[in-house]
Amino acid sequence: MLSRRKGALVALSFIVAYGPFAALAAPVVVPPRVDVVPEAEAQAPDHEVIVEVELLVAADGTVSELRIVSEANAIYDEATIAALKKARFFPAEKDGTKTAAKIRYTMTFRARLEPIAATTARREPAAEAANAPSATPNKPAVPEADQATFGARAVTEAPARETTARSMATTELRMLGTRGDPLRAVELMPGMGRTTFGNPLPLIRGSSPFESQVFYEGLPVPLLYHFGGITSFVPARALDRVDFYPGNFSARYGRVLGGVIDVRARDPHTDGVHGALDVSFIDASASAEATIVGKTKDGAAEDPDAPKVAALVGFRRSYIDAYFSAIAPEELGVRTAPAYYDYQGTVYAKLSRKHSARVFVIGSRDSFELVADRPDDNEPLARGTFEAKTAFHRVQASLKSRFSDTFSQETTVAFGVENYRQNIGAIARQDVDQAAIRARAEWTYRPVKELRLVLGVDHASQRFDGTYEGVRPQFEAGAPVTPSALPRARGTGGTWVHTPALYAEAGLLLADGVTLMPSIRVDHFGPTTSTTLDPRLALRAAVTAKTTLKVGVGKFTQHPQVVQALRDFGNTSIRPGYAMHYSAGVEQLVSDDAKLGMEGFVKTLHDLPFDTRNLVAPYYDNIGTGSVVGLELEARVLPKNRVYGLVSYTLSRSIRHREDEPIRLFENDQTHLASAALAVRLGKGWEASATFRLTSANPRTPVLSATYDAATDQYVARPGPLSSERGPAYHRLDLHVEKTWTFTNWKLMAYLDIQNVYNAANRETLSYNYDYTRSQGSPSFPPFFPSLGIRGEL
Amino acid sequence: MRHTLLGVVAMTATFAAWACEPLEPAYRLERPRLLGAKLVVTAEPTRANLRAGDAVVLETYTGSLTKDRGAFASAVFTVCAAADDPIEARCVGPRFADTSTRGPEDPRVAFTVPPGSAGKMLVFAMFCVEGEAAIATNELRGACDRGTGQEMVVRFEVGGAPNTHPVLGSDSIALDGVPIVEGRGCGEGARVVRADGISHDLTIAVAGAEDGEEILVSHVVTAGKLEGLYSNAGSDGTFRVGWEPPTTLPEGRVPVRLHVVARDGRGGVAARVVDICLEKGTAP
Repeated sequence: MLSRRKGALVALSFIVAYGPFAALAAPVVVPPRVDVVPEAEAQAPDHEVIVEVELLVAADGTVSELRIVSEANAIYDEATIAALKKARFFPAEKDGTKTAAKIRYTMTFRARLEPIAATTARREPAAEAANAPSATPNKPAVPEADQATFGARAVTEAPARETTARSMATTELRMLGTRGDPLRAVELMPGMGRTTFGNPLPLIRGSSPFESQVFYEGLPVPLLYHFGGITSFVPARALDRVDFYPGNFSARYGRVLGGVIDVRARDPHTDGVHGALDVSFIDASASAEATIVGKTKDGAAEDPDAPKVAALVGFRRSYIDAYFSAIAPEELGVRTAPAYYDYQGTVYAKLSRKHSARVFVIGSRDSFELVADRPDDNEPLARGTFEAKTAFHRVQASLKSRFSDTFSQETTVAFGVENYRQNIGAIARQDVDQAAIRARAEWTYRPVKELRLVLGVDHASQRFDGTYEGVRPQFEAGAPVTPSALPRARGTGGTWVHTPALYAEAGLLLADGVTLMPSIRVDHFGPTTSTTLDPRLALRAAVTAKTTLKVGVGKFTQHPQVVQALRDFGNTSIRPGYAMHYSAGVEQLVSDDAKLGMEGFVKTLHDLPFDTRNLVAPYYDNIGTGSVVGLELEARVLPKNRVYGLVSYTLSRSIRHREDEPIRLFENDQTHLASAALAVRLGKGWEASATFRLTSANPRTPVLSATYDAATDQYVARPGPLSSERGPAYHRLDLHVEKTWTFTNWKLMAYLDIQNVYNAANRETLSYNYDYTRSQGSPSFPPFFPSLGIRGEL
Repeated sequence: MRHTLLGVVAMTATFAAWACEPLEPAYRLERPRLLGAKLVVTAEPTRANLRAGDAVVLETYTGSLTKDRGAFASAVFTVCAAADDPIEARCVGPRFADTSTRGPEDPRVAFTVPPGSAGKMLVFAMFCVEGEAAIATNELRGACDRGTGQEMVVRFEVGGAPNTHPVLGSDSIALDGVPIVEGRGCGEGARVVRADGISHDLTIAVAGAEDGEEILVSHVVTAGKLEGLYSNAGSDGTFRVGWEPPTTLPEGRVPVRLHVVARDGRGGVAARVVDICLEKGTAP
């Protein structure tokens, strides 16, 4: 075995041999970056239209040559050419000298009801061009020694189907989060609450983590973060974008009354072989992608009807387990040190001009197992095995078909298995296996230009098998609990849960730029045989070319957790809870790359399935109501230039009311949520970003006194008014710096990421002594946490 | 179905335990404290399950850093049928056996389980360090007319499954393999240990556990550092816990008291108190 010093030397040797020093031998090439690309002037198509263009950016930043690589039709080809002829770029640099270079630019016109000029085409892809790391490998197609070809992509805004959709694309996801963590970046958006360590689910607009859902390509996944906060379950490089719907979302999403995060996977490149390897202190990942059929040939126009198949695979594994034993407290026996892995696979097949298919394979596993021989001093049941294993594996296939100019279909079928095994000493243990078949089909019909009709089916059949033994699960937080004093429950068995749903949407262009979007969704929940009807209505009105007003109202139903409705365990008479969402706001484009947003919202919550007081029978019942009121502000600069970022602020108040208790603040109410993120391309391959968050602490419940329970030798807290106190404000600064060396056929990046730069303790929760007479604030995770990594991309 | 709740608890508890220094070691007796209670059937002292009509004595165990016996000046007790509420102590129906005690010893309260009764019952008590203890008439809340105090609840079931109390015998506690004879202070026959910075092994043996029964033992000491507050007795009823005596001591000998209470989780309780006499030594 190597000593630590020897190990460090070996690692250093590797970096020296293959890292920055190797770069000295190759020229430093910086690809062109977008300065200004005017809007593409064209009516919105009925269906998505993609135009791929190869253009030569001269040394002065102008476009000197332009060639359609993949044509659509004359209207959009011409609109694309017209826009790009007026475009200006920051020219490429080779060893610090400006030089001509080719880039490949893809302009996507997405189908929408509004004329495109009313909403301004979004050119996220420009950002990619500007952001050298995503440049594709570059076999010079133009025979000039100083030229290189880079990839770029433009996408117009997604068609509006809801009042508010906030999206982040690759560049922002990679630079604005921490450690390039895409979902951390999404947390910066208005309406997103600050999740606490250990909670792997999002807090959206004052809703409980159990009331929102994360989707991957339209189907739900069980977690957002590995180990409840270390890193996202999918790396940024595998993503195209993340869509965040804080409320009043489309009827295509259901079964939640909070908000939705939909993670969208990136299609593999279709121009050859690519790969990436990333190594940091925490984890290592590798990905590879290749064109299997129909590789784009440099210099040749493509046949739009030619089939094309490309595949992408990625894998990531942590190695915290390699050193965890060395830093774990002596009294903890480490059986399985914390470790996670995730993987992603995508096969994209363009079958013809009208049909395309995608197959995804995605999975994730977190596990750790510790053994505490001696019971904890504050809870004698906290002894023995502490174990958490969460795994899911899924294969998902979708087929997109455009049968005619007015009718299209998208179908998705997925099969997945999930396993949850958790042991908290003698407090509770559960081992649950789930197998699920999910299917979604959506048909879009556009009989006239002013009307879009969507009919969809969203079905899930889940099989649960498992055992549970321990304290009865609680879904509402309150005073500190003494597990020894809580009632216990146990159960073993299996059950099917069928949840079919049907939805219909319409998009009606009432006037130029004014779109009305009524929708309705019908859900059925098998365990309680309840059927619910959710009508929703959204309106977006582009009152000027740069100003859009929006308003929405809708009903959002969520069925109880399965465990709450299980016979002999929960309450079989429990009903679904629901929320009414009301929101109104304005979106203002300030310039081509900057926009402002403001939105007010109100949510009223009804028939919430709450824990009964002290968890006495029937344990869970529809005795909860609540409301959330808030205002969201956002200023955002898109990543088209050297500097980009966002500032957001959310003011909200979230309250809950159990019928036998006074009205109280929700346990995750965060009155003030302020975020600021700034990223700067410093030149010569350097990029840096900083993220700062200042938020209210979560409310907490004071302990007035405690009673000694002689049977358990534990003190049971007597709570004061629920959620009546709040700790000091939470604040944290994260920094990320990376340097890219660009070679002829590959790139090398080194990065330093520091979480919680000034080591803010953020003591928002209290820990107590054995009889609750003394307390102190507990520091939040993470502490000052630097991470160094290198990444190579082919 | 969301399965994350336990994961949240596990992760949070693990991190909190890791990140926080304990405010006050629970294994060290630094102020007057309740340590346990045992319901003894007068006619059959080994029996731990209660039946309707049983004459019962509630023995209480308390500890203090300064008092040799009876950590609390006064106490008041009430007994009633318990509401089906596992967290908050509440009565159903009238209270009975209201009793006040005052004196130097740990309180002992006698009462009779009402004939014909069954189900869950509870004893609620208030202990005061200085003043007079009282319990409110409309709810189970205790108060002291001056100074601090502690509430206690003892839950029991009438008509439950048969059970017997575990046993902590006279030689059940050994220091470095040698049983400690129950005694008081540093008097004659006391076990003397030199505080020379060396850790010692306390071995505790609990007898009377039924097959498969897990005995939880709490151990509290008035000086030094124990490995923890709780231990689980092994299958043979024996376990070891390390004790590190304090290194700073006054001249002469100082008695250190060790309180041990064993519980079987079904009403069975055993308790024992031993003293170790500590004298100043030289660190190795």
